[in-house]
Amino acid sequence: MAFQLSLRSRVLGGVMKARLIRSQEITHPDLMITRGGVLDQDASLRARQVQMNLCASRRITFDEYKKRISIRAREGHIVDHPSSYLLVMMGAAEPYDDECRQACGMTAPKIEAALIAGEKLNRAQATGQKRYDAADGDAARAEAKRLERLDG
Amino acid sequence: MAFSKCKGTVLQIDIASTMTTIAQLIEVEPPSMSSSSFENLTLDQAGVGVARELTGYTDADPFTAMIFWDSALAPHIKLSDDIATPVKTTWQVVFPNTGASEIDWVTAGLKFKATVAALDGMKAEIEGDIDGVPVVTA
Repeated sequence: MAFQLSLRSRVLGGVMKARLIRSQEITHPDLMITRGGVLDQDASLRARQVQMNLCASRRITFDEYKKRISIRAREGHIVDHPSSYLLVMMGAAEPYDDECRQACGMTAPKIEAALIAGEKLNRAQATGQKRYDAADGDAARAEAKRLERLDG
Repeated sequence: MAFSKCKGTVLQIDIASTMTTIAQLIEVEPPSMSSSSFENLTLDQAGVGVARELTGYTDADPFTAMIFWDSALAPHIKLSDDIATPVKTTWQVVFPNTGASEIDWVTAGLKFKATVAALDGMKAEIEGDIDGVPVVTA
């Protein structure tokens, strides 16, 4: 219970920022609905479901659906979200403000280690290699293919 | 026509507006979908068949997934977060076929059950109730 409560306090702790260290598919800004400068997660989700319904009933194409719900955020993009510390913990981003640095509770070497582990995991997932240390050529080709898909 | 392998399939969850892969996935059953119906059988029906009529709704049964659980892994922490602070969550499965087909859905209500056994790795089962209609993209 104490574990859950500590997580709860971190999640409700307010807005914090993290900076992406690699290009990533993120929710389309049109679907990020804010109220008083704070993200309204329920309203954002409802906006997404409107697009899902349009696609499910074939009123928009799959490509149009993907373009409406997500965009490619480049390396260096600042994610402003109450859960952005999780992106740091999984090695996808680095803290951009003190709130995020405090919430992730990681020292600089740990953040560096998470970035390396995150990169290895991405390589494995992108290339389908059993080992996490996929060959550089395979990883580069898979990454190029992934970015091409994100660019549509 | 193609026979797609399952290896390379990823389950993703929305973390801080970023679709993030849940590592150490063992298996996943995306939500099953059905067009809902009811029996409209009446005693004065002439035919012998059981009559059914559509309700006009599309329903989806819960999705389930099994992972090797690492309590320190961020996407796994997100699962606990979404239970401790109940929120609806966006999920997707991306298949390893050429077109990277997807099934997208939203959960309202999540279950998380860890299993610890002497002769096995630490695993956890995830189950989520579906809100609305899942989308299958080609």
